[in-house]
Amino acid sequence: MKAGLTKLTRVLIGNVLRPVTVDYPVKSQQVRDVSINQEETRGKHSFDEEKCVGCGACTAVCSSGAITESDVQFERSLKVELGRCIFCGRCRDICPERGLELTPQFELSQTGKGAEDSTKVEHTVQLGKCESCGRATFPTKQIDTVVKRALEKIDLANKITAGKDMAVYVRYCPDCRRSQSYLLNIHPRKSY
Amino acid sequence: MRLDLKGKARSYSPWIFHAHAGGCNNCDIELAACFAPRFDLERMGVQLRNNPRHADIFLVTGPAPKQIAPILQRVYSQVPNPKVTVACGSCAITGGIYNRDDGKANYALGGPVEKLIPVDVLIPGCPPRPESIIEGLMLAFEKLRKKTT
Amino acid sequence: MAVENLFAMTSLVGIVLVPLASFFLGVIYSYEIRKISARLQSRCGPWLLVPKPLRHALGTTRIFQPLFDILKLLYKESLVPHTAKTRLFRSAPYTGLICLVAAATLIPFAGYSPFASFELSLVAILYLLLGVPFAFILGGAASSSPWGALGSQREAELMLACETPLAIGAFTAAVMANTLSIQKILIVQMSWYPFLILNPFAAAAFLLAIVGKLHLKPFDMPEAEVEIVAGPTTEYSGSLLGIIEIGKVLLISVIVTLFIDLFLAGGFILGFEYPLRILAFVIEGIVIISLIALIHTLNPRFRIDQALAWYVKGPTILAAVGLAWAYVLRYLYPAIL
Repeated sequence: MKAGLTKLTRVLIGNVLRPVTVDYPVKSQQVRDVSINQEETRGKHSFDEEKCVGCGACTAVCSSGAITESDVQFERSLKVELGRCIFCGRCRDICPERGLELTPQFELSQTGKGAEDSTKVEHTVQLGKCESCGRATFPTKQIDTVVKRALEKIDLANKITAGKDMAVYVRYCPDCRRSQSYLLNIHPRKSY
Repeated sequence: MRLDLKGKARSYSPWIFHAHAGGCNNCDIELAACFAPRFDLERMGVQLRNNPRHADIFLVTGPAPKQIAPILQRVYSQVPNPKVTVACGSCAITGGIYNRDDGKANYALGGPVEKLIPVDVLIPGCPPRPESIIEGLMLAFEKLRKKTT
Repeated sequence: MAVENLFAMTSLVGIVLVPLASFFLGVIYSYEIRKISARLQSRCGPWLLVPKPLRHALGTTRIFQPLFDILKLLYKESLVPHTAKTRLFRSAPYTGLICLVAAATLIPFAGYSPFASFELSLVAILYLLLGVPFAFILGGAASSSPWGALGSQREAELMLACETPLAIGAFTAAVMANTLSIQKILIVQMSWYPFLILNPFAAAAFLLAIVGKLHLKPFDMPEAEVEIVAGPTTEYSGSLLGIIEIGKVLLISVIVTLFIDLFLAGGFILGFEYPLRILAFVIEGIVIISLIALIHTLNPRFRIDQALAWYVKGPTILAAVGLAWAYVLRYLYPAIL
């Protein structure tokens, strides 16, 4: 019992003299290291300029509809509305290029929505233009990445012809590809 | 340099009333963690009161379903001026995960909180970490200091 | 003529300065209760010294935190329910405050009181200190809210419970000094020993009664937060609530000063003279408050029937034993008195 009492007294005095409070609003590095776990904290989104191809998989899988894509002329802009985001990380998990990451920046409070609305993250990609009808097709980076990846996986016998076909039809939108497939010699029934 | 006793006293002693407008309770748990020993808000003189008549900061969590919308407005009117409203969590800001993917509203929502009462500070997060809540509350203290009523 | 005018003027200055000094000391005591409660819960508590990066936003020190609370409340608007009895509702807090200010001028504060020659000051003080629970009861009843009514009932029952050991302990000190004037009780203690040493039973009973009077745990059931929303102060807001808070702060200071005067010779320990006596007075107050804060932090809240039963079984019997011991002392040492 004496050992228990001494331990209790030591714990009480330790708690009184050194409380466990983290000095949070002081944003020093020491406080940050103690208080947040840098690898696992999910905070504000950041789109990688080189890796994001603008495919829109993140907008399709978002749990609460916080990421939206909107196409204007020949630009697609992906917007994250942090007021709707639930920080689940599905967008980051499904991105095929690892181009979206959730940084550990969680201090996102602001006073009122207005001109200084800091809770939006935006990223724009360029869209390609169809050569026959002139409409916007897919993001240029997405096209390049898809071509490169597909050519890596095709077996050697068909690689050259597939490469030649792809070089043609990526310049057209899907409707024009279908309607002009015989003219361009890219229909699937042609014999090699 | 004026003493500004009124503004100082208001921002050094903010009392919070937490209005639970029908959410999943995560934001409430994180708010309770703010008053626990690790992130102690009482250092800054904050007290969590359970009476709207004693409060300065009206902190709302949850997406405000239709049944609680008139009650929320009634409790808001019982907070004496000057008051600051804080919407804590993504449900309180925009309805959060209770929105449909195509942007239309859920059948049960009475609207995000800013359709019912004027909101001053927004704290995004689901749930916001206690550190986020503390940072948002410090913005609210600054707003209290500048109130002129 | 000039000397009498000067005397009247010092009394007038004293009447203003002594309650102000009491209020200031009460702010320090109230901060100390909050700080000790927080430290025992291994939290930080209101900052004694704010960390440097935050000083421009949060001030340099929060040692006057209770004062900031009161000032903020005084600058807020006051909402009065339309079904409340308005005149009683608005005047109840002021009644409590006036009684307390009057009591603060009567109690010798570190040995000085503007009304030092008043012969019946102990009776007057015990009577005036009843104004505070009265203000709570009237205010709670006038607020026409069920929480107010519940809080008033509990306040009345707690007043019944804790006034008995308080009064018996105070009159025990009067019996030992054979006088009802607190200034003379002080003089008797200065020539004898402090009554804490001579009659610890009465001192213990008085101290336990203080915990009930200040509404600290385990006896904070009249204003049970969250349980009955806020008890009698539920419908109060703004400047009226600020007056109630001023009353609470002043009550801490007045009642601890009364304990020190009746049982600890008002700071005259070890024969200290004037400047050191004030320091001894403040240090004694801080020690007593830390004891009370320890009790407050380590206890849950009693129910009101448990509180009444405990007060009857504990402090009242202890106070009766103290009174009997006082008569034994008077029999053994008749020469001192």
